[in-house]
Amino acid sequence: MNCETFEVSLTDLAREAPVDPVLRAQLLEHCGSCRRCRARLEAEKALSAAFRLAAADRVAVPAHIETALLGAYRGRRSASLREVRRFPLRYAGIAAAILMALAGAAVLTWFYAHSPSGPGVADSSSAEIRPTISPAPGYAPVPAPPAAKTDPRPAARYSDASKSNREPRTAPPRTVSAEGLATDFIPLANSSELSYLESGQLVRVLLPRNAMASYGIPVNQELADRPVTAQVLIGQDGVARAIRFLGDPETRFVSAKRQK
Amino acid sequence: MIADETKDSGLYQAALAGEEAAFTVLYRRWQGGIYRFALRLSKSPSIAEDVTQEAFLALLDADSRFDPARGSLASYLYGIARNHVLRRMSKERLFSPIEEEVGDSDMGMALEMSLTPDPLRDLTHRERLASLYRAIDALPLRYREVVLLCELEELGYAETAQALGCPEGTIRSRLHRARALLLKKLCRQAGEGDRVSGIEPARCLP
Repeated sequence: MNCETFEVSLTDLAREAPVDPVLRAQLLEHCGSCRRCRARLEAEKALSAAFRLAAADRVAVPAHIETALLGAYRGRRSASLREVRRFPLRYAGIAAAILMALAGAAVLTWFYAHSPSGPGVADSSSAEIRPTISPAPGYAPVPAPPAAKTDPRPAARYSDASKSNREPRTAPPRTVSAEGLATDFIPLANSSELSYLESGQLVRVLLPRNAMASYGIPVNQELADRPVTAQVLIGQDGVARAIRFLGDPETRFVSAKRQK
Repeated sequence: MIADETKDSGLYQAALAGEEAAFTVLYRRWQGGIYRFALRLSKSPSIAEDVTQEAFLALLDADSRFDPARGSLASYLYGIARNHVLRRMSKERLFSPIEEEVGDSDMGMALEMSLTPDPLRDLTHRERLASLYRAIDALPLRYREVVLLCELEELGYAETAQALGCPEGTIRSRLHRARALLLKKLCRQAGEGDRVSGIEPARCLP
C-alpha cells in the first residue's frame, strides 16, 4: 500500500462506508507508518463529523406546502373518478348515435325506394340534408332506366364537384327524360371559392325552361314556353351551391298519378 | 388502510389507488429532505417551496410516473427536485438575489438561539454549520449537488447516481474531489481566526 492507493479509498474509510476488511487493515497499517496520510484521514474524519452534524440539522418545511399538495391530490383523485364514471356513458352515447344514424339511413333508403318520382321529389321542403353532389363525369347523356329511383353512384365530396365546375359544361350529368327524372346536382359558378359545405337546404323553384340551356341541358323547343322545376341547394352560409332540374312539373304530376 | 407502511413503492401504489393517508405518509417521509436539498441548491426559500411541491406533484403525474424497477423513490424525487431547481435557477439568473431572505433567516436564528438553554454551545454549533454551508455553497454545482445528496441527505452512491443521472464511478470521484476542496476551504476559513460571525474581536481589559 502506498499513498496513492490509500488516497483512492480514503473517502470510504473516513465516511465509515463498507470497506473490505482486508483492505481496511491495509489502509490502517499504512496510516500507522505514514504521517501525512494519517493527518489526511483525521481531517477527513472531522469533515464527516461536521456533515453528520449538518445532516441532523433539520429545516422546517412550510406547512402550506402540505396543504396545497393534499388539495391538489384530492382534486386529481376526484377528476380521475369523474373520468372513470364518465367512461361508460361516453361509449353508450357513441353507440346510441351510431344506432340513430343507421336507423336514419335505413329510413332514407326505404323512402327513396318507395318514392314515386325519383330522388329529390319528396324532400322539396326545407328539410336539412347532407350534400351529395356528383362531379358530373363525362357529361355524356345517360338514358335513365324507367325504374331507377336512386342514384347508385357514390356521393362525392363537394371539393371534387367544384373541380368539375371549372370544366366547360357541354352536357348535364343526366338529361331530363320524358318521365321527368332529375339531373344530378350541377355546381353553380364560384362555388369552388366558398367554404366547405357542412349542411344545406333544398329549395324547389320554377325556372324558365331556357335556364336549362345555360347548364348545357338540351331544351325541347316544343315545350319552351313551359317552366321547369328545379331544386337549388342552399349552403349553411345562405349561398346557392348547386342546382338540379327535376323536369316538367305537369309531366311529373301525371307520372306520379300514373304510378299510383 | 395503508397497504404497506414501510416501503415507498407500496405507499406510492396506495397513493395512486386513491389512499390519501398513503400520500401523506410518503410526503412527510421525504418532504424535509427534498425541501432542504432544494433550499441548499438554490439558496432561495421560495424556489425550494415551489420545487418541493412540483416534485410531489410529478409523482402523481400520469406522464412521469415513478417506476420502482428503475430506482428508488428517493432518487426519483431528488432527481426531479434537482431538475426543477436548475430550471428555475437558469430562469432567474437575470434577477438579483433578495437580500431580505438572508436577513430574515439571521433574525430567526438569533431568536431561536435566545430560547435555547445553552446559547453559547448553540452558537458554536451554528457557527460550525454556517462555515460548512458557506464552504459547500462555494463549490461548483456538480460537486455541490453530490455533497448535498451523499453527505447531507445520506443517499448511497447508487441512489445519488440515479438522481443525477450519471454513473456511480462519477459520483465517487466527484465526492472525493468535493471533499478535498471543502477541506481546503474550511482550513482557509479557520486560518482567518476563530471569529464568530457578526462579533468583532476586542481586547479584554483587566
